[in-house]
Amino acid sequence: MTAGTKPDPFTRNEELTISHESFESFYRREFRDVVGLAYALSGSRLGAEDLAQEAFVAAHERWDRVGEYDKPGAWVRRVVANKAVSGFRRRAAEKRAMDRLAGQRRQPLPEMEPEDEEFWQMVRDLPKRQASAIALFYVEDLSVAEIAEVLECSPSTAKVHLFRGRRALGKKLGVEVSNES
Amino acid sequence: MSRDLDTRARQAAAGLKAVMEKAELTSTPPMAPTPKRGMFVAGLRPALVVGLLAIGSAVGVALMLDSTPAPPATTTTIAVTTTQAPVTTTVPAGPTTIFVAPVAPVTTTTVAPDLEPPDLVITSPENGAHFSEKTITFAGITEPGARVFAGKYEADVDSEGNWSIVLILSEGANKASFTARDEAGNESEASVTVFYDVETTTTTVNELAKFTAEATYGSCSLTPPYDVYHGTGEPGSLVTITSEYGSGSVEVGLEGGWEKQVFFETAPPNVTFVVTVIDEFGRQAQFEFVYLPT
Repeated sequence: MTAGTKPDPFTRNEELTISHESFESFYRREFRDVVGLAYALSGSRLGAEDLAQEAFVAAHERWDRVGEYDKPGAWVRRVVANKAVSGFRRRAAEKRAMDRLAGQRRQPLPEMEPEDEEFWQMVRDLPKRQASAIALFYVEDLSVAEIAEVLECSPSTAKVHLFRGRRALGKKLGVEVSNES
Repeated sequence: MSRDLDTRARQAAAGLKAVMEKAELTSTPPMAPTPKRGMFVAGLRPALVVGLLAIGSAVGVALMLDSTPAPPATTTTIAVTTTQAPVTTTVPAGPTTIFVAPVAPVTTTTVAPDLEPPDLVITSPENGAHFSEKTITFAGITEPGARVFAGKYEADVDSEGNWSIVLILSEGANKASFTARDEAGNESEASVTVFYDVETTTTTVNELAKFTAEATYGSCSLTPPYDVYHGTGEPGSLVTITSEYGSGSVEVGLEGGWEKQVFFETAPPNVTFVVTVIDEFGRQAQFEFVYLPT
């Protein structure tokens, strides 16, 4: 890895010699990033952390299997992406978060700058798979191949989602979009 | 111009990341220890470990005292959270050599029981919907890992919690009730009422193409077990195969033939059960199937 670059969120620490990373280590490494993804895709300051937590709880319950995956982070992000873009699940997470807030156990995430919030709202208005692809590309810095793993589709399909999402965003923003991605 | 979207998107991503860096996340790993009164959790708070008592046969309790000089009278009563009676320990007065053990990696793992019922929503059909078809696919979402039942019939649930099941309606109002059960045994219920309207101008059976159905095997030794059903029917109509352990449906081809492979993934071994094949006009046939693993 080049100094200064962000660690690949789906690649385990190569220094680890154990074949099965501990869940706690995985959680502490990935949780904040996954909350960010949930925030981008749900727009919910209240529910994002709960969405991410639910995904990690699901991973924990299956850790014998998920922990053996080459990229367990992809599995968690897939669950979060599915939950975050589902109105029902997002509202359910928000309700649970509200319940917790009533007990003063959790703070909502800080607000984003208005123009950033506006951008992510545009992303959320895209078709779900396109929104997920855009968030994974820009927030998680994933490659097309990695996005395909998260979305459980072929790289060419992921590329189409990304292309269409970027094209739609460019149209909404009134700008052209390069083909370099 | 081509940079604009990327620039804008990366700016928005940077804004999001900045927010996340400031965010005070309070979640803890699901398996994180939950500190309990009287139980020692490494790193919880500074403490001087002066002893370790074994209470009963299984409960290890580390006594935690502030590191202040001990009083001359050294009878200390320490309440611990167990079902045992309070423990009294007496330490002799005068100079005392206290063996301070290195803090051993005592790990207390407390997994909170999952008491939350799984989410269960019916996305299709809508409550109050009317149908002219007898067989309807009910679908919805539940928690990943949960199972969904319609009475004794189990719906297909994918890894993301999307579920579906084909049910046969009776004439008039039909209340379909579903139960989702998660791995911890928590249950949720949801129901929807739909109507099967029998058209007064329904095509008479005599005008329909002949309905036939056959089962190819009747038993299977492979896992998951399956059978292949085939026959004839009204072109373009739907034929549904249902059983307690698997179901499926197929459209009759333009030539009037149909074939459907149905997996019985949850079929118990060596138990014979009934498989019903029915078309949308109510014509049906029944077969027996048994899973005979080698």
